[in-house]
Amino acid sequence: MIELRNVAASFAGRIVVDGVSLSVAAGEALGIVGESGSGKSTTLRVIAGLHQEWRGSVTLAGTAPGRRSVARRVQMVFQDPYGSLHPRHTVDRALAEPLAIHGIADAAARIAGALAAVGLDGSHRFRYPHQLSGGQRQRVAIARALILEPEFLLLDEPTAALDAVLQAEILALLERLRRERRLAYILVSHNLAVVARLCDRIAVMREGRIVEEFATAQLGDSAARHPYTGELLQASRGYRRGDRR
Amino acid sequence: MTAPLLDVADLKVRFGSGARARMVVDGVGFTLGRERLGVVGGSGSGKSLTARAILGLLPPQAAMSAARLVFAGEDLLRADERTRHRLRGRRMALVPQDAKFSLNPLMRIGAQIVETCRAHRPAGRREARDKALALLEAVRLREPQRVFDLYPHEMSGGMAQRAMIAMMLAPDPELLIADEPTSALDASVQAEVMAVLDEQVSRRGMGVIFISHDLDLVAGFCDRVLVMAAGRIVESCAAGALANPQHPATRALLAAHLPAVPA
Amino acid sequence: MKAMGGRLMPWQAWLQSETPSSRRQARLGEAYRTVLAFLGQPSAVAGLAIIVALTLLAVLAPLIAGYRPDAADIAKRLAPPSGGHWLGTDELGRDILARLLYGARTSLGIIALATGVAAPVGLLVGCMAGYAGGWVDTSLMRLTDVCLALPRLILALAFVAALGPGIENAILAIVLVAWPPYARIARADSLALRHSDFIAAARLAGASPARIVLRHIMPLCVGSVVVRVSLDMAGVILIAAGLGFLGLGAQPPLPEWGAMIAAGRKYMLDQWWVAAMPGLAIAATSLGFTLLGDGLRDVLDPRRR
Repeated sequence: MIELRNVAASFAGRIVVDGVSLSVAAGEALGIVGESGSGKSTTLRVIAGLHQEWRGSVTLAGTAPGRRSVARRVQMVFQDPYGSLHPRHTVDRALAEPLAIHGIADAAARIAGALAAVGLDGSHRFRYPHQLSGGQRQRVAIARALILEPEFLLLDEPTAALDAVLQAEILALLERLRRERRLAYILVSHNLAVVARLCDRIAVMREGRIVEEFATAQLGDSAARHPYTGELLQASRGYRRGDRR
Repeated sequence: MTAPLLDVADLKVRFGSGARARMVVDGVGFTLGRERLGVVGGSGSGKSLTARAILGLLPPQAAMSAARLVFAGEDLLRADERTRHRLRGRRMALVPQDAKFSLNPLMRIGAQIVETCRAHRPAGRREARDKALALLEAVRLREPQRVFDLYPHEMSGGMAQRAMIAMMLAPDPELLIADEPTSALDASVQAEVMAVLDEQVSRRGMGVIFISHDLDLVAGFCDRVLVMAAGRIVESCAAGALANPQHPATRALLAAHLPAVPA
Repeated sequence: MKAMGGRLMPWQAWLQSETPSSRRQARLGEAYRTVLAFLGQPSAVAGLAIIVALTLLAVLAPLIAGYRPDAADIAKRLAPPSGGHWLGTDELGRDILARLLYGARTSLGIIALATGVAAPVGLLVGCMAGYAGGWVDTSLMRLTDVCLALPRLILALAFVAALGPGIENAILAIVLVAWPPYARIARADSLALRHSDFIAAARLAGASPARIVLRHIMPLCVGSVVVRVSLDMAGVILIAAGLGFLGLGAQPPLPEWGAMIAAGRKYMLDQWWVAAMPGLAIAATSLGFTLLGDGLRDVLDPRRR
């Protein structure tokens, strides 16, 4: 269970998250959707223990963020496949690192298993990131997040840097992995369609606050939805010539 | 029948040489009039490099060849660098993906647009400034006077992209190549930028090459669509005909589109 | 380097394989690509050639030099270059070529030891400061500033005054003033890398700060420091020569290029070779390191990756 109570966070003195409360139980998938600057990524980084300037209460399965013990329960997939892998480490080394830190034996088998789970085979294992395509790098990043077998996966715009076909593939992969391993997701995205595809519940964030939270099935219920959610929904329908704005 | 604005035949772009050569664009050909042509494909399909080859902006290690590359009657293959330089910017414009990387971070937006105005057509400072303000207003930036004095990093992504469009339209070009102009923007801002492009292209009667990986976006904006895969054009049809794709690559692109509301 | 007909040798194919099957193969393959990139630059190869040649001459000095460096023959003092003495003799009749060769050992030894200690120290301090931030960063950087502010030669003089002349103290003085620039360079790289997603991923995996600095950040900062080291070598050689010139480095009768220039100063007008030959040797060594450093910068520039 991940729980946030009245979390406020600032960035260089400016408040970017202003009183956010939410909770995600094991096996659930929550999507946080909002524009750039809404504070959704900062919220995720606070949960991951990567952002220090915050107030409020965050509990991850009973412990506070940033502790070493959290690593085996909560992991993260980042937006930029080019930046999330160490440029001088092979795929093998990148996957072996978390195992070595926690003293887990049987590394070779686990690495092979993790690669297979994300659809990569042994030929990719000893390559460097610059020898992989964007989609392959993101798969490696997902494999790395899963190698410690966490229960919760934090996903920060995992497909924003990928083209449409790759995005569909990675989303399908994430959906399959969630089903197979009974993972819980907190997915942050500016794209309502992505969030609706993967998540059971959606939280809409704007200017540091949660505007509303609802089950994905109720997304189309325009009467019950906040006008801002309606705007996001309209934007996600794409553009047609002559659309008047 | 009037001559096409752009006539391309058998365009090829190669990286490397000898045994390690890679053909990243492999025999692309099309004609473009005063219409909107969409070029769609996944990463690595060669769509961006095709545009760069037409503009003469390929990286130095790339080698280009074509049977025909004619823009508004000018043969680009035989043109010298001065001619290409003159055409590029003044008559052929490029709107790249991320305005934050394409705008000069050390100059205010207004100054950059004024510089563009004066570079292609001699104009007085006052005249150029008025034109720049008019352009900022045309791309629907609120408070053009205030935006005129902003630096790129002080603007949001959507604002910067619209400023970029204003700058590119300053010399009144005939051909606009938009290379994933909205891919780096939030979904909610994309529609605004697309509306601006729509309005400007219609009003000026320009020819447009719209490059994207999003088939749905292209279908909604363009008249005709070319689908590229592995450096080749695999499908070419009217935008409305995309509901019945022929090639597997097109089908994959169509299937990749996510519905906003769960079915 | 290809076999006849343009085909690759088996070991080349192994190194250039797109799908390596072990970490060793991947690492060696990457090293091979770097070496190839380096060999593609003529000036860099020239620099490397000069350094390698000098090192070989220094190592093989006992075999090549026709004379012993301390074999004085007053009758033949200040003789110009000739068949018997290729570079002439100095004021005590010692063969200059032999003294240059043995002096190369001293000089190269001093700079190798000095940078061999200064560079790792600077790299570690800079990486730690850049990653940790806060008071660790501030205190380490103020320490760096203090050492940077000390003029090199004056500090060496102070050392010698305190500890007495000799090679060891000269090396110590050089180390003390050579490490700060490396710390600054490493800190600059480290600051940029600190916010990368792959570092965040390492933190999330539970890596301790020490592990992150040593295994994730330092390897990425080594390139810049190596480039700076090569380019610095010219300066370090000159410091060592300067110390020798002032009589603070190697003590007579040990041959040392700087000391040789000092001794030859008196005879510069008429017997120019006594001072000019060691001067040329210093110039050649500096040139070699500078060319090497320039070449390395193009190859090791992290932006290339």
